[in-house]
Amino acid sequence: MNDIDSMNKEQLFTWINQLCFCADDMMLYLDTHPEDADALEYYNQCMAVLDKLKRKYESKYGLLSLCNASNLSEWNWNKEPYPWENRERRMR
Amino acid sequence: MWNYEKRLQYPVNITTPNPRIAKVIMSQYGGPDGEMGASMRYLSQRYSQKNNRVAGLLTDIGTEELAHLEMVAAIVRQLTKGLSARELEKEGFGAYYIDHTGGIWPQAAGGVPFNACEFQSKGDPITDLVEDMAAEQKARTTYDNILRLVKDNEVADPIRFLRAREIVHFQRFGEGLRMIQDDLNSKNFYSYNPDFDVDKS
Repeated sequence: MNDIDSMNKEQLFTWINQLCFCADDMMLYLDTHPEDADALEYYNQCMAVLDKLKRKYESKYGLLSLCNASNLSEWNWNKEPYPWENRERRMR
Repeated sequence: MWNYEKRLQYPVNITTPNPRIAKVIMSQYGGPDGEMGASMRYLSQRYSQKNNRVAGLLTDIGTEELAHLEMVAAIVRQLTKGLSARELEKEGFGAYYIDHTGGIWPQAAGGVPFNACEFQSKGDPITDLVEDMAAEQKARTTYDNILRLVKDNEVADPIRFLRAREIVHFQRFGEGLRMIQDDLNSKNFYSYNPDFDVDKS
């Protein structure tokens, strides 16, 4: 599970979604518990792994966010189907 | 400023259309306790929220509600996509189809359009946070009502996720309310509006 290089598109995407959820939930917790050092450490760990996963996914399959765009060779922001389409269209 | 991420907060993959259930789930898009009202409520209230941490909480939860709005739209769209006018009409979707075809538009289950009167922004941090806690419970109740009608697990799964988030948000808003009250004169929690009046104690 931790070998990013052997993951296919759907596996990478699923893991990104799961880690983003961890980060979202921890963000709200930290908003009201900013002094909790363990929670901050967990948040930082999530974000570090997410950074690697997003780089990998975006270099192979297109951008998830324009915040991560740099030195693009083509405008692929709206090439992939949008997330409200179901899995068959998005993961082909 | 906002940044769009090209993914849903939780996946929606529905393979069997069901316009009848789409019609009731649509209420969580533009109904009285839906995600549009939730997002606009928190994002509007934050400007008069003097406590920085609570203003941040309103921003972050209001932003998450936008992601929930997108999930509800995806559910409604996937439940109605690819059907003929006759099929939509047979499943109780005829009136909506006439006005919006297969488009997404904010209305309640009963057809009442979205209205800003479904939420308040009162300019008083305590008043607003108490409303926010009630709003999370009302949305949770609506998701419970939806889950009693939904039989298809592909639909129930993302609805259960959304329901669980209402409970987490209720908890966080409760903590936010406590932070504000901790800042006030403990003998007199409700005697003045901490955003508007000057504390004379």
